[in-house]
Amino acid sequence: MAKNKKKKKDPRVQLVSLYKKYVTTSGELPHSIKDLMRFGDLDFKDFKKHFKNLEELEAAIVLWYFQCADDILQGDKEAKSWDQKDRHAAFLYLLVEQASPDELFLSEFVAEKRKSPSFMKSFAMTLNAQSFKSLDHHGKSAEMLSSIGLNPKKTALTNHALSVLWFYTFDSSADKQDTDAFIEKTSDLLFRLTDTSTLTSMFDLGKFMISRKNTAFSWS
Amino acid sequence: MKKNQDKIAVSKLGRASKLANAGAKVGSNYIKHYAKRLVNKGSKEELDQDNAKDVYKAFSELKGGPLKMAQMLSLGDQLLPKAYTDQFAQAQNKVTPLSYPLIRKTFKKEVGQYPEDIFKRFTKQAVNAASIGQVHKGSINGKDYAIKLQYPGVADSLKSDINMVAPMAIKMFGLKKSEVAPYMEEVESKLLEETNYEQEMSNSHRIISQCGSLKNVVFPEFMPKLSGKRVITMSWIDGQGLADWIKTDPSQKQLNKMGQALWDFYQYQIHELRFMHADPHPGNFIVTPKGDLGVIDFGCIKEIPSDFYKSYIKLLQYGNEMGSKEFRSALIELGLYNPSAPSKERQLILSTFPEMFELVGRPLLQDSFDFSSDDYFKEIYQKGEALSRNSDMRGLSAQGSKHFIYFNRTYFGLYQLLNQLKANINTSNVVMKRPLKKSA
Repeated sequence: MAKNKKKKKDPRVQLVSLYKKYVTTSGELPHSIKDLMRFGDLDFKDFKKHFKNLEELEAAIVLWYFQCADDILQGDKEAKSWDQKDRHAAFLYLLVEQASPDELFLSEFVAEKRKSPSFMKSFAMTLNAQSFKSLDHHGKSAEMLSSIGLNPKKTALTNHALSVLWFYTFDSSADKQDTDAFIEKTSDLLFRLTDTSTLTSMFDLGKFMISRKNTAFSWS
Repeated sequence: MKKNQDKIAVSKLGRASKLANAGAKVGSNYIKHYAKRLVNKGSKEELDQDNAKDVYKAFSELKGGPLKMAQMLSLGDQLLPKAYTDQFAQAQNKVTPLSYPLIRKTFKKEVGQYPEDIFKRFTKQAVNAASIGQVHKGSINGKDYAIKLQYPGVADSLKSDINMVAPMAIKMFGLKKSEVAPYMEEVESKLLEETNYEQEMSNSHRIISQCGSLKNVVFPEFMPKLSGKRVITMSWIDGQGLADWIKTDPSQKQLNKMGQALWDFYQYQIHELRFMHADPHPGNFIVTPKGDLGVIDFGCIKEIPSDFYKSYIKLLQYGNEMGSKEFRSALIELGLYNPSAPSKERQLILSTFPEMFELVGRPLLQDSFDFSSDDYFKEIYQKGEALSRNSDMRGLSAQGSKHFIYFNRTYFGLYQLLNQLKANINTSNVVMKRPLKKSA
């Protein structure tokens, strides 16, 4: 009979679990690494081997939601035929679904971290630096801008996803229906605001007129 | 093709400012009106039209509660000038669709599986949209189904919208808060009921099980296993919406048949069941290829309390004898007449109401009625408009039973549908079973 080998758990995952347990048990975020490690009866060095500080661990938790949502959506055959707006909305619903078991942690995290704009800024930058396929934006204008190191739509989509998580933690409606409504309304708005098709058509016409050197509308 | 509005008022503040904006526009319309009047150019009708356009625009951009109220007001409530009802009549079927991921998520949550796991075909785009939900079409083993999904947060939005709209409506239409409070409560509770899909399933069962034998009326089959709090699945009824069907120029015989089916459906509920489908707008009815009337929405059901019913019938019966004891006792029972009110008020009631009740009850008191007669409807509107502009009517100590709201809404809605159909129908079935005529 084959020996039942136990897989060793990733120590980073163990630390994340410990962190979440701390929050749900004490109802607050740990104030220091010492606090957390004492709670888990672990050594301070064990933490330092894997994370620089608590904020890095906290960011990893939220990043994990993004990663899971991205993986699920990328593996969903049905979603492949959807347009970008629907895929983005689907990503947001999955993101909320991933985060929902950790609602208490997330609420504490948001309540605490919103007091610290510098953390929020660096956290948003960390998120933007990740390559989640679901948040990639394709199209002519995106290609042009990415060649000079810019992807404003991706940044907007990532920040939007973050705002959804924030909204979710403040949502006291039945079945979190307001979060669904928030996703619907803000996605619609975001895609309207970032819709550059009119601009592209204008450039296209301009290019056409210039390239043809047509003087039909020139009176000089 | 998707129809989208340019922007949506997201927050409560945004929604409030949208309404405040409408209020400001109404204010400026009044200024324009009085300025025009100085040079004898502005008419009251023009002012009503300008105000109605602005109020409708704000309401329709907000959807939810205001849209629903706009729909209700469009159903011929004679409290409003005709210009308002014309504008509000546009309120039907104008909303931004839900994204497919939310449809899929909601369906999975309520039913346990994704739509594509159950239906061989499922339309990703809504085939119809209303104020609180949208409809998709799916098929299983060659049989088609209508799947109705509710917009998220509708119940909360309704509550907050009513709270915002009520004070504005009170101000705009010159009403007193304490007087309209019971009516607002009635409207709020009914609107909230419409957001309860489980309640709608039970309503549908109640009506279908008792109206199933009515001639030329058909109902969908509801699927409880594919339904939930925010999803209702029912068999698809083929056909055209009533309004679209009318545009196809059907024969008078077909129009009369449809009108008769509608009439029978409502009279049976009112006079036999004492509860009724209280949302008679064209979007809730379908004309099948066989020429039957399909009833497809059961969200709004009104119970008719027995004492209210009896008094109402008495009022119709004695409408032409305002001096009679019976007529006065019916007015008192229905909260329309206060015997201890000043004599001026009592005289006003006794000189106005018999005419109104005779008008409403006229089709019921005859063996047949030709609803194509626009004169009848003009008479209703003119009398209603005169009534609403009579400032003495606003200070009455007796305000009437709250049940009048949905009862009148249903009757006027039905009459309007019959007028659109230009139907000439047999109305004697009510008279025979319920002796509305004193001689009967």
